[in-house]
Amino acid sequence: MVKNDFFHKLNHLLRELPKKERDEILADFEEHFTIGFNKGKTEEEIIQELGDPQDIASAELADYYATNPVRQETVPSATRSLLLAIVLIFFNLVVVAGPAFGIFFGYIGLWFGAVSMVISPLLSFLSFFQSGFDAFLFTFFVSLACCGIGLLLSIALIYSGKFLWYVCAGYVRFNIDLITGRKRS
Amino acid sequence: MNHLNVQFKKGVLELCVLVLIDGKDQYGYELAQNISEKIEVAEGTLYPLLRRLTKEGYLSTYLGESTEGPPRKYYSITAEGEQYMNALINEWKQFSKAVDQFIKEGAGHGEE
Repeated sequence: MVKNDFFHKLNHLLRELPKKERDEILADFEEHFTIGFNKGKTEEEIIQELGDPQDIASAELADYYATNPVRQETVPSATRSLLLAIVLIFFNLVVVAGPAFGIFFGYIGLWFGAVSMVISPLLSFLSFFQSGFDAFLFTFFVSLACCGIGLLLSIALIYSGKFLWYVCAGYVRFNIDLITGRKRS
Repeated sequence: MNHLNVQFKKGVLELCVLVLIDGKDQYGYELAQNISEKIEVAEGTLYPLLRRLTKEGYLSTYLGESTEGPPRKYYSITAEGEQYMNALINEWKQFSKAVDQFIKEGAGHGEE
């Protein structure tokens, strides 16, 4: 390691500190190197004597955070969490649950529709035995069209399913965060 | 001093730094050399210590001219620092006396 590496490493390890603090620290070491060079020492010798930048940085950071405490994460009290949980449960039951179930079963229903449309050409063969060839041709072509529509619908459902899943997961996470008082950045 | 606890070493170094600077105003490099002559220490870790003691008002700094190269940052002890140092010296004396005592007694038993 040479002087530049030492400074790069130290600077990187101290990146959490305000620039002013960092510059002061680095200036002290700059002076140390200058004097060391004047005494005829090599970069390697000086770095060897100074020791691991990690140790220096840890000490500086510990001192800094001892006098400048990190913004306290708000820890919600148990009662606050409990109250919030109760309110959320009621809100979810009364306002969210109805539409959510509606959308869920609607989605399931659409899937049934899509699947049956896709397999309708197979079913159309049944009409061959029931009502003869002409009727069969007609139902067969109609069912082919249905199959195409069903396939398109399936693709649309896959995408909207993913979207619904994200919305749902996001909403659940939002509820949990609200109760635990956690903030995500 | 490789086996002694890091925290313990820190406390002792703080005392040494104050005593040395009390004896004579020094710049960082000089102080580091004076200490590492006698105690095995990563010189780099003295700088955080000096900065902390300065922030706490036990040391003050000034720029002193030098015949070789740019001016140097000198550290001198403040009245508050002197008080603090004396308290530390007292504690250290009591502590080391007790430790010596323990070692002597312990060593005596071992010989029997």
